[in-house]
Amino acid sequence: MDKLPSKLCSAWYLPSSSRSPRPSSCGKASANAAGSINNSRHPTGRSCETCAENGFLLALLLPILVLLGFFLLGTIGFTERAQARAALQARLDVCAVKLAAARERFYFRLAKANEGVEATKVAIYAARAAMLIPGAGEAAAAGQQELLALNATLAAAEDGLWMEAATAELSRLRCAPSGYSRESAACLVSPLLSGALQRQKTLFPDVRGTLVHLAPGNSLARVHCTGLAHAVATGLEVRGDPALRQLQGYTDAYTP
Amino acid sequence: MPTRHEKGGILLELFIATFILVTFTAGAARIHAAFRSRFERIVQERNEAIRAIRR
Repeated sequence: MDKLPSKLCSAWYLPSSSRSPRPSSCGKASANAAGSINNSRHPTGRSCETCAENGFLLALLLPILVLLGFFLLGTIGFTERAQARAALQARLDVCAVKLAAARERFYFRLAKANEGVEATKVAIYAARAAMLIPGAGEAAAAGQQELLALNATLAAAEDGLWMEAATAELSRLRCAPSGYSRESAACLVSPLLSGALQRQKTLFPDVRGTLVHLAPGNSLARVHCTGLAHAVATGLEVRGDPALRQLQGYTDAYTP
Repeated sequence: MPTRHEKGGILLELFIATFILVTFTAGAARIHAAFRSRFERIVQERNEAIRAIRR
């Protein structure tokens, strides 16, 4: 028994009384268990094949177990990471769409308000022209005063709408965490609504013009949301006419 | 020829190996299903949120 077997070779499941003496070559055979099976015969004539097979199975099982464990842990880690990215991407998409949709809705409402301001502006021009006609001067002057007040009221309402939308936009820039993603994420809108518009000049300084977009071209705003933990981002572009007469919705900024 | 006890030992080892492999496969399948379902929920909630915003 002193020459017996390394633990791989020993038949651990056998009761000690039933263990048969192993040849000295058996220990060697199992020591390099994954290698060739030693089928040499012991001087007693007994084959070592079974002993080596037992060791072979055990020696094979342990590395397989360890490998499977590593594989499983690696796969879980990789999948968790991929899923965190997907969750963050989904959250950024929602935040970007919220901002772009809010901007688009604001432009739509502003375009409607602009129609009123534009109408009063034209009416004031007409009234002031009528004031030059003899006989119609007084009536035109009275009408012009009413129109001026209406123009100022509509313009003030537009300003209020603008400021309200700009404040709401600022509060939406921090992309709120979702149920699946808690990492830090933020959005940027370029240009910011507070500095994106200007009032058009009119022929008379007391008549207020419509609000139009400052930047020329079809791009009214670019929304860019990005996560800080993972390198993922979402970009959207709000398109339309700078005079806000025609809006073309928002598209993926990364698609040419 | 292996003795009766040795045969039993081999069978036991084979059983343990099979048990481990089956348990591993079943566990991996369950983990995969859980991840898949979570991923589908993420995408579904994203689509619903975007649809609600656009409405």
